[in-house]
Amino acid sequence: MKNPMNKRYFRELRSDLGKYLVIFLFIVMVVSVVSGFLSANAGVAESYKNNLEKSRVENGHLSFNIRPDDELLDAVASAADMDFYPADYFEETNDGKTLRVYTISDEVNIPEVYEGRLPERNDEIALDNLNSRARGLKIGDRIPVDGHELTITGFVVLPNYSAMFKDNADLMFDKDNFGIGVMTEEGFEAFSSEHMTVGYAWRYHNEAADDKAKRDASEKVLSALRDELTKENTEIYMRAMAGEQGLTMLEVKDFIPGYENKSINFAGEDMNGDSAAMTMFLYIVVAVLAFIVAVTTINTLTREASVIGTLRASGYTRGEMVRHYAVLPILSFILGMIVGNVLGYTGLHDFMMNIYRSMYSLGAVKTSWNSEAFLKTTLVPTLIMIAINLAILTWKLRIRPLAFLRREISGSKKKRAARLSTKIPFTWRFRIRIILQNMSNYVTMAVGVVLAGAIIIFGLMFQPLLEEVSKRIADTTISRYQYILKTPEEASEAGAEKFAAETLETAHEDYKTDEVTVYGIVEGSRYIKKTIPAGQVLLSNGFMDKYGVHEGDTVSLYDKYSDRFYDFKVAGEYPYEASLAVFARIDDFNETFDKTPDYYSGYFSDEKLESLTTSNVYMVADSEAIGGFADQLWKSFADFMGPVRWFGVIMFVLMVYLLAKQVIERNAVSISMTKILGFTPGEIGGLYIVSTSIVVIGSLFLAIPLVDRLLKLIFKTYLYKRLSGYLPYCVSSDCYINMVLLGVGSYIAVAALQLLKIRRIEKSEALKTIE
Amino acid sequence: MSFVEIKNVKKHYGEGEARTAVLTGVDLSIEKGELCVLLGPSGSGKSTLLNIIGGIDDADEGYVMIDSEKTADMNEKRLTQYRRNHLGYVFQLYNLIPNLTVRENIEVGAYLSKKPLDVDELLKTLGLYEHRNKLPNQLSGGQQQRTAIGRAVIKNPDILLCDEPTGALDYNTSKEILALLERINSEYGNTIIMVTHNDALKHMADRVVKLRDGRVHSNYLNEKRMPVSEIEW
Repeated sequence: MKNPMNKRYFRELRSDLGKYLVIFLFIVMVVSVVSGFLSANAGVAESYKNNLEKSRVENGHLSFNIRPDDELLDAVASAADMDFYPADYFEETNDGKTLRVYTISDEVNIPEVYEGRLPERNDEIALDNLNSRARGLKIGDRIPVDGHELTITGFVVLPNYSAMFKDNADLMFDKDNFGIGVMTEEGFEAFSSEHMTVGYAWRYHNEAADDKAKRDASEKVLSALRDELTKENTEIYMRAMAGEQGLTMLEVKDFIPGYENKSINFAGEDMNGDSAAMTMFLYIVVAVLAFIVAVTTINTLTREASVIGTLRASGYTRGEMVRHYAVLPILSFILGMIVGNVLGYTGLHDFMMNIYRSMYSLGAVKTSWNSEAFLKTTLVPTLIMIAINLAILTWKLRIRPLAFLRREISGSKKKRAARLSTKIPFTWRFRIRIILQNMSNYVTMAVGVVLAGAIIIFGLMFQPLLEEVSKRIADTTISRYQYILKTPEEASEAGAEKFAAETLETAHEDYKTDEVTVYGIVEGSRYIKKTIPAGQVLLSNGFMDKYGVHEGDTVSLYDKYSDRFYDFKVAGEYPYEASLAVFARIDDFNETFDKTPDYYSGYFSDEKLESLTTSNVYMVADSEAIGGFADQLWKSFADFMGPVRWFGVIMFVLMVYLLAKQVIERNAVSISMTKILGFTPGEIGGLYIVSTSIVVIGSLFLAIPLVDRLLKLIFKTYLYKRLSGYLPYCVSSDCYINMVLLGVGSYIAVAALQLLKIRRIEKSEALKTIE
Repeated sequence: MSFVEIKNVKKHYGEGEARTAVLTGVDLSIEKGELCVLLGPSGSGKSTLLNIIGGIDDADEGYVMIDSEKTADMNEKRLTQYRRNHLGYVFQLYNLIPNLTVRENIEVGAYLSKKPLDVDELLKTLGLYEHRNKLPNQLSGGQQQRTAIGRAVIKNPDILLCDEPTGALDYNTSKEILALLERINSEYGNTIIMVTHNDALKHMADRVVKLRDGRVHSNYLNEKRMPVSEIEW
């Protein structure tokens, strides 16, 4: 005989459709987003990985201030078991938009044609498919490049530029203002050699397998390079000493092993990190939902206590009861999972893929069935849901049949009523009693509100945060321009102030490597408005904050070119937001880095330094360009963060609705009785809805410090370690105000529904028997 | 040995000053097929004794033995099986499942038994056949209680435990229900133990047990059992 209790399921579903619909919708929403994201992520990651192999991505690249001899390159290549490939480039900057142009290679970093074709003539160029789209360029358009008019023949994907980082030290890629072009060799040679950067990419004969092997391999290159540079420069020095004029020491300007290259790795790491973060997010949301569902089931148990008692007394086992009450929530959950996955793999997949496509330059992506994503988005959450619900149901149903018959299902001895002073007005005592009676509902609600609040804040915080960062960068800029020279050269402008600079690296095993600029500052500087004590340094505030450095500490920084560590004693903080920086006195700097006492390598200036030889200027950093990154970062996040905010709001509404509904249903008889006594629905709402409102609004306010701590923790333990560069943690108070307003606004809709529910409760409810 | 043996059963509730002794040493034997009425004023321990017999409450001391098996020796799982196989329960409040029909509520009991009675036949016996497709809230109190009795009886239990089965019903309906129990007892031969505070019901019993202050005040066999229809109160 089939269990006749099974016949209840459909009727139960119909009578409590709202509850099961909310569970269903909630899970459809979460799973469709996450599975859509993970499937897009998997497809994109696959395409990204394939592109790296197929297009022979470099294992590293470097550039020199002047062209080195072939013998030097051959010696390094032979010592490090690799090959160098020419990778010269020049840059064209117009209106803050930079185009970096290379030649087409068929040996390394081979361009994959995304649309159109590769250039064949001297006046043709193919552009990366991301920046060109951001700039609204089309195939056939003609663009001016360094005095030439070039025709766009196609859009390409380059394996070494999946993320558009102009500089490896940049915090974020800049797809709107930075792009790549490729030309034929003949076309490329027509451009002025003065602007050319002498670059080489390399590939090992045997690809290093793991991180350590990659590091060892690049160490080998660096070590061979150091040896050859020393030999070369010793020879140049000897020739100079012998009286030869016009000689320049050979310097490596840029040495980026592939594993450290953000343009290559950022997209892949971002995908991996996103996938892990999304999966974790799904599990947390499912766990919270599982508790919400369990609370609603406990309410059902309370309502049906005497029936359960009778059935248990008649011989129904605890397992049979657990299964009976677990079936509907779990089924609606599983159905939500299925529908969510279908939506995820169809509609949302493309939406999510477009988010990736809007951020990274990627080739063709195939949608493939991803069993791992399916396992993550279906099996694991289902197990979480089943485990939590079965555990709570088993625990709740552990009590004996008699306790159910007596409706003592809290499992503990009879509690005494909390004493409430009669000085508290009656209505407030009533509300307090409602809150105490529904404590488990309200605690779950508070936890859910905090979680939803965190999601809302996460969706709201980045725009103001990045505006704040832009402002801080502008406020703390050292000078309008920073000139870095190839060799020291006197500038005639009065506003020019010399400085020396070296780039070192952090070597903290828990963090991604950060590039740190060490500045040597002249005494009485007009631009650095704080005295630097002799023998000590000031650290930029970002450095202090990110690495938790305090005054009096010693920081150790690594120079990969000389394989040396430098220690700096910290005298204090200097407000500088543009990058991680160390400020030392120039004499200390020159002594530390074994420079001559009069050494310098650049200028701070608020005006353009026209007196400098253009070809001797290695780089000019414009404060406007530095500040621009925040806009770019926001643009990259914008596509993603808008939905996140509304996702949080919907989650908030569904959860509060479900739990508030339980409170009303649980008290249906009491509400009916108060109606009989003459209370109006409005007055009853004043008791029951105000109680829930107190909890919701209280939780929203409680969420402020909790979310603040939670996000701070995420920044410190996750973002800071995962991202190189520095993004200060600051959530504008407007975000919290908006979160509370969004919460209260959406709660008003829920409260209106609750009032409707109160109106629908009939007076006869209180007169019926317990059934 | 009797079918139901109760030896020196003691039970208290609460601790310290709130400690209340409910049963202070009950000894009782009930034979198979007997209709036993447990009488006594409120607080005399009738329901507690019934619950201990039914294995849904524990005795502090003493034991209940049914068909030579002590309930105290059974673990929770075994107790559930024991209730499933041997007991039927009827309460003052009917505790029907609101979204199951009359027939389905009775089938809930049938599901527990390997050899249940025929549902349709029982529905006819209970006078519920025409109402079999109604939900509990479409029935009168008496009809609801008949459904609850049907749910308990359908599995043909050895013992039917009834806790104030007419406590919420009017005179005529009460008589109807009691007559039904009487008929079940004679037709199916189940042992029925019924708790009531209505002294007049002693006339319908084979055995009358009066409890007072947690003890058996009197226990005797009713030589002249009367049909319910002739009992007035």
